[in-house]
Amino acid sequence: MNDFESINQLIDQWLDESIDEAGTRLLNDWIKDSPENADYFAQRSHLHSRLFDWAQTHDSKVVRVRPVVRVRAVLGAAAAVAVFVLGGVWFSKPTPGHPVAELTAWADSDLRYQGRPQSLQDATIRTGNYEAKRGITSFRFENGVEVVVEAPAEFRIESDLKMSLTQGRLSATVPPEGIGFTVETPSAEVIDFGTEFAIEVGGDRSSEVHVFDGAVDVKPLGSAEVIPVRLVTNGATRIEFESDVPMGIPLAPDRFLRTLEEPKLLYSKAVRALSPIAKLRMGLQTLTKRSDVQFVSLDGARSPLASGKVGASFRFEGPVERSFVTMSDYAASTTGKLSGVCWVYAESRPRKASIAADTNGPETGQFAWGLWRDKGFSRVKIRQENGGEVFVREREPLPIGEWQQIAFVADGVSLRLYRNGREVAAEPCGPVALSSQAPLLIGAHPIDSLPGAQQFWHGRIDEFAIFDFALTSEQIMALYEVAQSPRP
Amino acid sequence: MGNHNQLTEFTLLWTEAQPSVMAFIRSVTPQLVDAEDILQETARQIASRFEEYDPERPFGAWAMGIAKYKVMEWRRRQKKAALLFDEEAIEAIHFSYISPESDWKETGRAIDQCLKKASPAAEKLLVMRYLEELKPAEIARRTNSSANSVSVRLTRARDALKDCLERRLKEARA
Repeated sequence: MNDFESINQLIDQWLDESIDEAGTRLLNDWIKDSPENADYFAQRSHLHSRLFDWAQTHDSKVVRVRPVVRVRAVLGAAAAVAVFVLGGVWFSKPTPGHPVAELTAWADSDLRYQGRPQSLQDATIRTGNYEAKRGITSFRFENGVEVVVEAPAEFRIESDLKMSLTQGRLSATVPPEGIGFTVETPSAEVIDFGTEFAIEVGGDRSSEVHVFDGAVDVKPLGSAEVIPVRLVTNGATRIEFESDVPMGIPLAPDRFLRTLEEPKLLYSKAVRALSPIAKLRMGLQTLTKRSDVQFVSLDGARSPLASGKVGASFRFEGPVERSFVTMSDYAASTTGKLSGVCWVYAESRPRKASIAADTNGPETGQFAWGLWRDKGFSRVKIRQENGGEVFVREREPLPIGEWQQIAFVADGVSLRLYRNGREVAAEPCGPVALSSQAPLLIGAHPIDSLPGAQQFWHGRIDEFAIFDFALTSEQIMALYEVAQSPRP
Repeated sequence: MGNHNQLTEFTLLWTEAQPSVMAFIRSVTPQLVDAEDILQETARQIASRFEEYDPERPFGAWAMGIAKYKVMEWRRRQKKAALLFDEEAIEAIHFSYISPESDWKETGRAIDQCLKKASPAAEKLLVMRYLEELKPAEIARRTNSSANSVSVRLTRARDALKDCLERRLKEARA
């Protein structure tokens, strides 16, 4: 059998379980016939397996608008640009290398200045060309303008009132002293009037501008006659490189990481007041300052930080990229009671995706929290002191693309599940088992009683807390409401 | 077994190797539920023998060897009538999977890129086969076509992915 068409069909019959005995023997012998045949079979079966993995992170009901990435060249000064100067003074262009800003925070950052790596010990940001190859970097100008850049990004700093972004994503917060701060992109110029806004430049050189607070003017480049768009709070626009027409688009506040500072928070204080036995804010501090917490990821290209429900959150890439958090020294509850609260944002609902677990079999740990099989209902499992496990699950799949507060409470007689402050399921459940120390995994589930992880979360997790007593419904609802306030 | 570093090291190695180990297991045990059981047993075995692993040698090949052993064990437990490859064929396939020429990680990445370009029709078909795990006969029933035409379309979708994959790998190596 030589032609590839028949062999492909035969292999596919095997992979799709529609093969018969004769076909099996034929395929079997063909594979043994030569190493090339075995290789061919291996390649095709590998593709088949990979498709199962792909399907886990695919949600066919969601239409995602993805920003395009990768820019080839910056639009040079050839563009006819009428620059707005609003009551401010243009500083004469400093010679390259003039200090204008200071680094304020960074996460897993790899920053290049004029092609050379910038040591993070040197906190000076100068005029000139930068490339952010990895991670997140934030810096503040002398006039108080604070900028957060997410890699991969290429940008140039002209002065403390002007920069250009040729690729990537940045957010800026501009105090009154910085009014007039301007960001130029290949397709537009954005002038700020004292606000908080973000810009993303895509691979097709289109630009998107999102305004979270205040106002900006967005002037499409390429034609001096086009009237600028005035964007105000909660407005957003997109300008294609090819056209001058600004297009109104929905604001995407969750896309941009607007600050690396975890806001000093009502929410965090409220949680701390309840004396949790484990608490992770999932922000910059959690990533860099906690020696008991480790973020594990295979592909380190993207920083794990993303915009969160409160401040930043950790982003988990699901079964394809396989990232998760381990917390050593997690001391399990000894009271027979256990509660957990956190905020989750699902990008998709992989089979049995795990939010957190310390149990890796019927004999160890106390809980496993995540999604149920393929249905994507939130569910939690508790190991009882008197043996056996109790499961409780919701009847509806966890929504995708929205922050959800989820919580569970094991109070010694029942196990209850909550979403967004409301009880959604309950089952009888005895006191929680005493546990020997097992590491706590967040965003994945341990493999049996051995090192390893599986069942990866795809999306974000924020403000994770575990308690060794039973939270009341009022306490859970109160936490839900605190997180809803504008800057919790 | 709470050592942070060992956990991390093992997990990094295993999570990197797992997709191709699973691919090997799936290729010789088409019933998904069996493949998952074998993978679990393999994972357990690998973790419990992790101390024996010699870091000078490629982890993937070591893991793949344990997987093959588990596959052979499973195979011996199957009924004689079951449709199975013989041990020689499984050895040959195993050998292909551990061949140093196969960079499964790069291949995997290229596949992900190619999948983004799939046509909506192909995507729909692949979702039914791989997410909902329907066999061609069931897909045919749901889409009002014949099992045969579904098989043909699946084969074509896979061929298209394979061509895209080969192009990308060639470009990457150029």
